[in-house]
Amino acid sequence: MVGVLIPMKWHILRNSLTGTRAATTTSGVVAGLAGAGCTLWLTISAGPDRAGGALLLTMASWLLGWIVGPMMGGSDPGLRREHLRHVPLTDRQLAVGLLGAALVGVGPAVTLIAGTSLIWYALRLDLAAVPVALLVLPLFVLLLIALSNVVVASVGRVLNSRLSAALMAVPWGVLVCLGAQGWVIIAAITGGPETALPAFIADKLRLAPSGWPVVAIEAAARGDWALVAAVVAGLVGCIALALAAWALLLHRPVNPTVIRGTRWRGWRPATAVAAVRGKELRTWSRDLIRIHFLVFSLVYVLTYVLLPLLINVTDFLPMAGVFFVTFAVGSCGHLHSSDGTALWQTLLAPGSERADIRGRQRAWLLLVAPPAVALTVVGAIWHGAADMLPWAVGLLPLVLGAGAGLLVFVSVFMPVRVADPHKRGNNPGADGAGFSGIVWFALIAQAVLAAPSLALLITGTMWDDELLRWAATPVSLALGVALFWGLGRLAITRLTRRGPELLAKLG
Amino acid sequence: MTTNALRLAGLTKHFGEKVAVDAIDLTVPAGSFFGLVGPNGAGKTTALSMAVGLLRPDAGTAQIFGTDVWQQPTQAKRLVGVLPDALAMTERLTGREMLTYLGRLHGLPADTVASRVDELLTVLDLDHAERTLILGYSAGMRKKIALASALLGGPRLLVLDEPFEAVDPVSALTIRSILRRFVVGGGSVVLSSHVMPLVEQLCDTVAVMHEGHVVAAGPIDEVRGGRSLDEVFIELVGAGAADEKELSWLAS
Repeated sequence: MVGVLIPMKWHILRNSLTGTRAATTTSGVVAGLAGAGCTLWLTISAGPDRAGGALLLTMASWLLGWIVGPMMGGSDPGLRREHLRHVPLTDRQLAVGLLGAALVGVGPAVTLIAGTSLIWYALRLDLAAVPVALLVLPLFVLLLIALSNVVVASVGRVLNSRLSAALMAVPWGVLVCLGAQGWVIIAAITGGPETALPAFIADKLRLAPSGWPVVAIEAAARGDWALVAAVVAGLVGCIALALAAWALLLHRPVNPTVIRGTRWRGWRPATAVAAVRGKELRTWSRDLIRIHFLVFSLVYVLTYVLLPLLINVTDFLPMAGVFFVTFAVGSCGHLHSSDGTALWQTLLAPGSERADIRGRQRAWLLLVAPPAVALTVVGAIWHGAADMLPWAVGLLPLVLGAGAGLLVFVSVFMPVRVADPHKRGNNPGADGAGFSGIVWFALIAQAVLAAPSLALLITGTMWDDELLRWAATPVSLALGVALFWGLGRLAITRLTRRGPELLAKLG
Repeated sequence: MTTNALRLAGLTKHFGEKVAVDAIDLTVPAGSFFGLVGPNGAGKTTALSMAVGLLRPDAGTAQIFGTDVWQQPTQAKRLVGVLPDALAMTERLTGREMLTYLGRLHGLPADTVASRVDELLTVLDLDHAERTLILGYSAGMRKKIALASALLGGPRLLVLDEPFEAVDPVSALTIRSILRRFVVGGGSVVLSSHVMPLVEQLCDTVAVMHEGHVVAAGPIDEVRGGRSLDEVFIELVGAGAADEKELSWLAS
């Protein structure tokens, strides 16, 4: 079965390299290669006594990446269990086959490249350790892929209600944020890659599966072959365990989740815009993927601002609202993509493009503005000092306005083809593929759009000029309103002129 | 002056190398019940999508009651109600919510929307599923709610792509009687289907599409020439039954 599925996946991959998907894949390759390059550079540039520590950290990041990556929309177009529903296969055959197919892709390739740093490390320690490195490297990559799939499959199993969609976002938000911020904290403790990793951290990292290849190589260099054998057996055992778990999860196809509508209370939207707003707000409360991504943004940002409390830094707290909105734009920017071919209903309603865009913008603002304002107020009170106020107040109207503009702009100009709602499940890991490009674009675009206000805030802070810092607030207000209107206008024009083309891209 | 509900002239669409629809001309007289038949992949859906403004043609024109769909989309779209095949809808609303949303999106007054939605849900027997989202609808219910949304705006022309697919006999009867009443009342219907007896029963005019071309069109009795539509269809598209030697391994 593996022999059939691997070439099949290869064909799927080759045929899917068109349009937005090709761009996403290319950016994936670039990002992956950059990550692999970083890993190699850290290991090679670190002094002989520090290379092990650097490897432990980078391998742990790769493990984290493989676990959280798919939930962030980083999964690739591929074979799904549903594609093989009618092929008579045992669960084990299916799991092994799908694992084989999962090996074909950008992720495994760049991980393998990054993993060559293990061979480099072995070479440096002792020639006898090289065969061990060559053995544990492919095992490690296999383990990462198997674990990643187990996570995606179990999330699909667990995610079946609004509450679980929200709860599932909690560990993910924390993990991703630790991946981004934790690195900084470790660097703060250790003083960067130039210093050796403190023993207490290194010991913990050696215990995690990501540390095992390093342990095996170091053991081989010492001639501790019993430990080498134990680690290799451990890796093989873990792969087998992950495969067994995966097979178990594949055994029963996930039942579609039934979300009920609310009782009819005589909804009478006053205008077309109000109708779209009502439709969007209802969709936000009933679409598990939307709920998941929104709560994810919230948890990520809360972790981001609360983590520095560990070292008694409260400066980030007043910025929580701004960060939340900034992050929410990217994770919500797939509105038209996730609606899929339902766009025909808008296209056939004469002149409804304006209502569609404006209604979506308003619904999103109604959704994110209240928590953003609340976060800002609570954060500012908690922080106590007024030094961050010009930043928080000065950026919030901008990110809200520009965010609502960017949201629909991205949604219309950067369509991502996903399965139509009635043909897909509720698993962001399996169905959110390709949204990561949107997230990154939205983050960068917002930084650019906020440049005028940021410039005032930065120069105001550098020159210690209160007036200059507070000047950012009116600028932000004006800019926010203009961008809300202007970017929305661009989206309306695009939808009016190229609506059928957008539909074709989504269908 | 014009009496054509729909007029397609030289309508063409390529998908890469493949010509899906090859310069077809088709005229649907006002007040007619028009059946578009053809095997899978004949280009029916592509042609109908171009005719109503959902897929931009490479060449040719489409007019609804004399209004060009691609030059004056807003005016043309006011005249037509569409039921596409296998497209998503506003899936996370209930049937009543979706019709209310669409009614307002089409610019109908709130009172009109409320009363029409009530009536449509009752007639199509969808009023018992008040809290079920479209996402949870069965295939037959999906067709019915899509038909309801096509009827909602009070169109003069209905364009229906496979309206009877996966619909149970009882619902099919309801849909048929609604469509008949619509035509009697002066409306025009274009529907595509695989089911020849159904087309024979309902339609007064037919066109047969094959490999992107219209190979026959006209009043149904003219096209049939005294035979059944099935026979004529198979002759026109040149399909043959499987040879006895083929699939010899099957059930042997």
